[in-house]
Amino acid sequence: MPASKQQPVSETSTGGAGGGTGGGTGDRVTQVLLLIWALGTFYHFFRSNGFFDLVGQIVEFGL
Amino acid sequence: MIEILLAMAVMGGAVGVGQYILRFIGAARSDRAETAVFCFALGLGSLILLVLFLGLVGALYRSVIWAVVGLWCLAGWRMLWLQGATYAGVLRRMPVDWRSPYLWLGFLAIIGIMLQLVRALTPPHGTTDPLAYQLALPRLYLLAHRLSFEPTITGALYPANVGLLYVVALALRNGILAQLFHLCLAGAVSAGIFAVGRRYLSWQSGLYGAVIFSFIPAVVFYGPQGYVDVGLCFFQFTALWAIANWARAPERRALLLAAILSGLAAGVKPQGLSTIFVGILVIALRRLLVDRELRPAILDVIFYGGILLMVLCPWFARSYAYSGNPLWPLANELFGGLPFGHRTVVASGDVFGVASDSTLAKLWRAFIPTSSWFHAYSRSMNPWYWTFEPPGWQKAIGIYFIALLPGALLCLRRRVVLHLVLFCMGYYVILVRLLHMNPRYGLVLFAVGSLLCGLAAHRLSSASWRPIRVLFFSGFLLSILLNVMWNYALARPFFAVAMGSETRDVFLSRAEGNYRLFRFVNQNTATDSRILLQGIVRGFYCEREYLWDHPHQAVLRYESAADSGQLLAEFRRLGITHVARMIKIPGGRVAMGYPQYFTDEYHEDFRRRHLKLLYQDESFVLFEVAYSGAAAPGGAVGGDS
Repeated sequence: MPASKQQPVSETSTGGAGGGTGGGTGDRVTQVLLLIWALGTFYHFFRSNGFFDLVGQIVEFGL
Repeated sequence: MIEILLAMAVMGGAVGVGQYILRFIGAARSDRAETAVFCFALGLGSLILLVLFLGLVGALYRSVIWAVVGLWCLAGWRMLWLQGATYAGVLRRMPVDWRSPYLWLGFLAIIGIMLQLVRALTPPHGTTDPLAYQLALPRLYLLAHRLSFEPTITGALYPANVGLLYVVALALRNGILAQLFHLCLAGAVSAGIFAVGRRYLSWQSGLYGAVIFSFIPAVVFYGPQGYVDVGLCFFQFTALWAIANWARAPERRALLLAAILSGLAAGVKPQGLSTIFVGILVIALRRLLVDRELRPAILDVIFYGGILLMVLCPWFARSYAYSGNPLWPLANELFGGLPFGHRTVVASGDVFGVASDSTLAKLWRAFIPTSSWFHAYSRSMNPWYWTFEPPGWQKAIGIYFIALLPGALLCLRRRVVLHLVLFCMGYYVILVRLLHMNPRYGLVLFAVGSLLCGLAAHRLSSASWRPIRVLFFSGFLLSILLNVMWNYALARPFFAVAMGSETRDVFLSRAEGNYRLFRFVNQNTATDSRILLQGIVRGFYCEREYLWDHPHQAVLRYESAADSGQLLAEFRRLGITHVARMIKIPGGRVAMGYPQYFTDEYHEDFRRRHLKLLYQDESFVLFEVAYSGAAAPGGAVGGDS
């Protein structure tokens, strides 16, 4: 039995994922805050779990 | 490397066989990525059911499994061959922008998976659960040529769909193949996240989500090993995805697909039963709140439940036949099944209240915990601690959820996002209340969470202000690079054995404590020997029947044997021919109730009278049971002492 075709419901970046559009000040401030939060937690996580030391060891002792 | 070829043959066969099944079901297909993942799940499901049938009829012989899997693979690859032109066309038409930053992201993720592959190519060693249960039980099934039951092993009667894939792996080759199967399932979850993202959000969100999932520390650690939790995540994810598809376009065929996948998910391990709860809830809510119809709601729930029970019931029937309890040893007091010396705890804390509570009070307590409960478990259930101070790999969820989920919450006005967030909140409650607050048991929550994180990441990396785009993408790429470095550090000790410059035997002799003991057992005892493991939990490398001696087993009853003579009679009754013993039992196990055998007067008296030393290394000994005046059951034993 042939399967019926169903259209994908994905939305592209334009308006879909919330990116690409919208240039209001509030939107920009929100994005800056999210960026600071994301990069700040990244830094805290990787530093506190010794990832930077690990990279140092790999660089120092070679692959 | 033969293992890689075999894994590719089986996985490709699964996709092909799944095509037949999906055609038969006739569920709607929206895109190729989704279809491929569903076919893969259905194909594996068909293999699982085939092996289940062989196990129930007592036909688990290597030759039979080779023949069945060979024919199954041929059928699958025939379908792939017939569709080869279509797949080649898709690949040719795939737009590849070599300057795209997403290509780098995908490239780094593939390097990470390759490094996990190195660990999967290392013989199973070190971790307890695979060597005690997930790989050890399939080996016992193969030894017995059926789905046998060893009542001293906890969980010996649990549903074990992924375990049946491991039966295939052990029959075709070894434990490495089983680990490759599990790693393939981890890759399939990532593929599924990409496909769902592409369909419901955006392909970039899907790609971010797939990358995030493949670098969750718990997935990185457990994926290349013989656990079943990532496999559970795969079947749960596809089941929930099929349910979501049904909720969008409620057709009976879509519900049939969802029910089959839910049955497969619930049959991986008891934690998979939560899939059924979510499925029934979604079906009921869709019919009652959107369609506002009661009769279709009831019919659909019955249809869904009936189909998934058909997939599940062989496991429950087997458990009931062996123990009188379909869920043994869970709820043993309810079913009155075979005694087990320990009440197995399902829920976290006082989830059902105290025994004197009424049924209503218990139900209330199940949903609304007391403040003291929150106080006691506030740290154990806190994702912040799972991120920054996880007490072990199974709770290590990585940084992306804390870092990116707030961004996803800003998209709640989109219905899809709202539904995903509601699912995550609901499943978090299930994880905390019923799954021991253990992220490893609920990885599907983090698979869906990865999708939301992917959405937030896409939102930031396509922001209108260029500095935000550049900074975020650079930071994210750097984080993935650090994760790849970490994967490299994990894989580095195993390059030699994975590449073949160190033999597996030499590797296991130094890396797996009891390997030398069991190698001696396998080479020097009769094939019908029965070994009592004292203080040893990991029995995978023992190719003889064995029993576990632990405080919760109710098979070997020391309390009913007053002296060594009666204990010998008990050994004879159980057909025990040898005792493999850990010399010094760790303090933690002694605290659990294990005896320190060599300082325990009762066991020492028995050893002096009836045990003959055959083997000793720095950690383990092997004794032969000397049945005075009678031949030891199991026959002669060779080797030096």
